[in-house]
Amino acid sequence: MENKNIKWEKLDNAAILFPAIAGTNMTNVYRISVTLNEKIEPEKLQIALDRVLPKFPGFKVSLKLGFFWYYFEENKNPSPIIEMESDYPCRYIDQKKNNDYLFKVTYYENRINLEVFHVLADGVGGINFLLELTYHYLDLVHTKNESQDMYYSSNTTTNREDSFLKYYDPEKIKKYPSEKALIVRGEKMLPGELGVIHGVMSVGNLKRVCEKYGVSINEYLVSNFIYSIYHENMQNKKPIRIAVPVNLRPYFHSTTTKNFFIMVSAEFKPSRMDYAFEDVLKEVSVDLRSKITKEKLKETLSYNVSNEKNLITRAVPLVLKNIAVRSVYRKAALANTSTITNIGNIKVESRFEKYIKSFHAILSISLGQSIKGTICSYKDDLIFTFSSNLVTTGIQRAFFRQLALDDIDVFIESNGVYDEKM
Amino acid sequence: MKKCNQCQVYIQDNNKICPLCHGALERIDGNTSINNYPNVHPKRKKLSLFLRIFLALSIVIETILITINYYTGHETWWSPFIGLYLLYGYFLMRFALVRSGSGRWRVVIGTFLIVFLVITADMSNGYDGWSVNFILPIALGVLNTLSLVFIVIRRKNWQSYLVFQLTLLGISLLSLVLILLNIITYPMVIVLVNIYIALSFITVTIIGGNKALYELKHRFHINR
Repeated sequence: MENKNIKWEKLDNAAILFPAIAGTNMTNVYRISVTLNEKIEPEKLQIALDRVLPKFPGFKVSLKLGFFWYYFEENKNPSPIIEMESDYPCRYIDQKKNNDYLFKVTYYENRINLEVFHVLADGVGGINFLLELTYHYLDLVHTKNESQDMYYSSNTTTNREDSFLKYYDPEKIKKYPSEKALIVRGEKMLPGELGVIHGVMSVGNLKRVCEKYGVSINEYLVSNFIYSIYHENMQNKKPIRIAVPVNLRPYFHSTTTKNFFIMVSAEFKPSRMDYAFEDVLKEVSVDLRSKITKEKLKETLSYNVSNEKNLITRAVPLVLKNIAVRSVYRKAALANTSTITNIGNIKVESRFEKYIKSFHAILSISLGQSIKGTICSYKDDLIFTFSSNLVTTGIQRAFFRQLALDDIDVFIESNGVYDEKM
Repeated sequence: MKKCNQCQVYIQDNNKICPLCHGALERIDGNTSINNYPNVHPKRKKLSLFLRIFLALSIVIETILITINYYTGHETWWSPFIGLYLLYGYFLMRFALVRSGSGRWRVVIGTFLIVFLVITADMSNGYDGWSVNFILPIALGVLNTLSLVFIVIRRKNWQSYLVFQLTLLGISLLSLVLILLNIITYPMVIVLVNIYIALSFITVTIIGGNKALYELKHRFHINR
């Protein structure tokens, strides 16, 4: 009965949900990857990971069952083994088979993939970790730098504050919409398969088009996604609602590496069959603008935390709590048609820019949401990624055709699944 | 690079057809494209196929047995029990082989499924009470002994078995209610097992010292 006390910490408010609902069919894993201008050397990547991981206590944890809640425990095992990518993106991370870690690092040709179980961190936390890993790797490969202690990025933070609890206001509470939304249906791929289509486009071209419409890039892309869904489901009059995770850090001046986002729903209620793209764009952009304000975000944040703070909720054993969480999640999930995550513009330290070609992000699919979108950009390239387990690609086709109609050149990459399906 | 003239998009990787419309592509330059993703073939779950075969065969066998049972005199209904055991075998394989997760909880679920089956068998024979008087306490005792063995073997992570022991203690204490309800008619065994589990838990906690207390604190989310 040796060794000192192991450190532990509570899960943040957003993370509470994930362990209760995650499984092989709904993994809640996201991928962020960086593509370099050179082939990856796996041995050096492993060394880089071994060096970086101790600097990120938020990633150096395993998930444990408590009596009332899940919690993180410091993981003293060696880093997860880096492997060549050999499976579909965003597969379930079984911590028992991964040195008890909740993230994976894989590589393929020039690309490093970081796959993270969402319980650990949101996209901002994931990017933070991936950038630091990439810098350490590049330094090992190119400058043979042996200094293990430094952080390469001035933006890197290890702040582990639960910002949800800090900025919660019990006086301001607003519930999520619960009315059922349109659900995209269709023939599905085999369990575990995931189709990925990346569309690469110029940020400059997008800005030009968005200026013409008088909307932001985010509003334009979300509206286009909604229009594409509408286009493929014109007979259905249910509202098309897209959950847009909003990074709360800029609104509340937080630098936490834990999850700190809430979902805002961009909504379009079709009542006829002849909407033009401009009609949808106008309605959705107005809707989004009205919802993404500090006051509105605080209301939703406070609603999320109020459930966690509720005394009755706290006293219920975890086994029962999980059943309730799954049921609430099911209802909430069916209130959204899909999700679009905007990772934003990724900036890298100038001395590493010449080695880095691009960044990609992929979301796993979830209950009722067989297709999802992710946006991320680096320099002048914006990549919109569709992940889907539907065999058909009508929505993706409508989306990229609209971009082409707006004179935006789109370069498509896919993971080959759709080629095999033919 | 290739272009899809239907969708008006450029295809960067080595696709034979447009991934959006499945139409033919036009080559627009001589550059060779490469695939940025590995060629992944779905890993078929052979085990899952085995389970499905087992389930289908079980249904066939059980249907035949019920028919035989009915036509050869149904004073004694023995066929449903074989069905229950087949069902148990199926769920045990699912829990033990297919599902991921903690092994110790799979053992608990497997054990309680056996207890449930035994109680069913006891009830079908007019209920003598041997299942709850003896089998239930013995199962709890065996699980507690297993936890002690693992505490010794897996000394690096011994403290994680405290919660397992505490859960067993909770279940065994709850089973005392069965005495009050006169379901357990021979209480000595369950009382002894309760004492055994309680003493094991107390002993491990005392020997474990601060580390045991710390483990219990964070399992219950009590702040440091």
